[in-house]
Amino acid sequence: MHAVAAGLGADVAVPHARAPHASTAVAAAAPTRSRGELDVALAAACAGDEDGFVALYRDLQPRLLRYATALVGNDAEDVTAETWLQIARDLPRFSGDVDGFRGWASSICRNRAMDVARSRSRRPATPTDIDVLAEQPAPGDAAGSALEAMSTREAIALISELPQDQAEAVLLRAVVGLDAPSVATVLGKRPGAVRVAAHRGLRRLARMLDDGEVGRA
Amino acid sequence: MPDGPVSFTGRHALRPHATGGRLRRPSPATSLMPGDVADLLLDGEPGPHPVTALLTAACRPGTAHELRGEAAARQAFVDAMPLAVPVALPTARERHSRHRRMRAVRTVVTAKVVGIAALTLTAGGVAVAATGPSGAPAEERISDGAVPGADVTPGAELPATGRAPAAGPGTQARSRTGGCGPVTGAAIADLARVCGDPGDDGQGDRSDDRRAGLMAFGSPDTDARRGAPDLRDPPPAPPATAPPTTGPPTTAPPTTAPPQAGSGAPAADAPASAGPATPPPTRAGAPGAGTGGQGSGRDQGRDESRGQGRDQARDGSGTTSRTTPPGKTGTPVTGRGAPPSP
Repeated sequence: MHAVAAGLGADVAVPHARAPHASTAVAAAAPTRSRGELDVALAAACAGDEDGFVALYRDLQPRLLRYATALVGNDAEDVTAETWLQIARDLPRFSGDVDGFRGWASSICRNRAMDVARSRSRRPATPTDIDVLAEQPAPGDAAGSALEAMSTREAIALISELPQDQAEAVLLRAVVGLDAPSVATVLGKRPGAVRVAAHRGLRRLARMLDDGEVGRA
Repeated sequence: MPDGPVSFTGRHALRPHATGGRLRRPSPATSLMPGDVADLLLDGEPGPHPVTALLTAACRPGTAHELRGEAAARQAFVDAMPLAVPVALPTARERHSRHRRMRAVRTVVTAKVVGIAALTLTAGGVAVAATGPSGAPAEERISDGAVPGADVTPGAELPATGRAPAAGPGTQARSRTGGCGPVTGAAIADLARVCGDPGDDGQGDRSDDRRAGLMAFGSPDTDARRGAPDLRDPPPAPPATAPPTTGPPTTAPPTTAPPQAGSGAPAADAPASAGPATPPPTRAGAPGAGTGGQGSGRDQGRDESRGQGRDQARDGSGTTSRTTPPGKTGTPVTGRGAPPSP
């Protein structure tokens, strides 16, 4: 994992060789924005338009947060915050379409997650007091959000139980919406290895679900 | 047929000989998730597989909780935008022209610096050659050190050492830097007094004579003149005999001083225009100087300016023989080692 992160080095734009049928999962994740609208928003954000940047953020932030959750757990929000800081700083120099932007953002997020993982291994964790958490109520409909979040959270938690390479391959392919070559670029592997890892991950998930259903029954 | 147990796992499981020619039975995992179904699920295609629901739940749109950092990200974008405005790089032509301009400017500056350095070195060398290590002009050095006593201006008294001090205002400086030794404070004070004396019209010639005499006394050999009376109160005697008679100018007795080498002419050869050119025999320095003593000094003071006297001294020192100008003592000077003139 660390070797892969070191091999990536700088955060570079990922070539966008996404298959046409791979955007279906993305459309399911972001129904409010079509691919063409996101391309327009990306071009506007690169030119300095704030609304375009917000559209990109709303489309990609949940995916990055879930991906970072599988990598670093509770530090995912910090990781995504640093990721967006770097995106906001380097976006005018980016060139490419939405798929390339997703790959680029995923690379940044992964590198930041690796940094957090390294720093976490060097310093002891300081758990937050429960009283502090109780003073920070969540905005919006708490009940509805809890139901939806629980399902999404359970799904991410189940995927996070996979081995690291399989979990990353599944998340980047199914959640973030990258194609196999882009995932291979992000992970520093070959596309065939990414495909194998994703397949193994899905099989393991199916087995886990089957065992779970059998267990419940 | 292999004798050992047959492996149904690993890549050998796909080979026919590993299974004894029988078809490999699919594993339970493969039956749960076939490869084509996995590709469809990863690509987001809907299906009846239970993993599809899991992936759909994982790909739901973001909640408000997940998007709560939007304000901070927007602010970061707004803050970073002014700094990230791309600046157009100069084209190759602009870079080339700029490089050419810089090279031209660099060449001009280098040429100027080299020229100034060469000019400074040349001028400095000339100045050093002209002044020498002591700071005095080379001509004056030659006149003072190389041929001392070769040019004895009228009115200058030759000290007993045979080194004739040159006359003129620059004599003191020359004697300071030359071989005559340092100028004493008394002589400088006397010179200052003389120069500061306004001098009446009737006493102009006499004042020049006094100055010329003081120039002659600038030598350290004439320190005995410290006891001389003040020249600002000369006796009202005739101008030709007034200042020199006030005291012994040299260490040598006036009456016993032999004619010095290079001095040449006796006092009788003083220019006729000086009036009573014949000094009294008791006058100090007259025999040694051989140039008419005060009489000749007065004549020079009349006829020539102070600077001319200095030039004359320079000319005489720079040459081995010298002929006095017409109307003056025509004594050839042959240098220090010249035999005394008859």
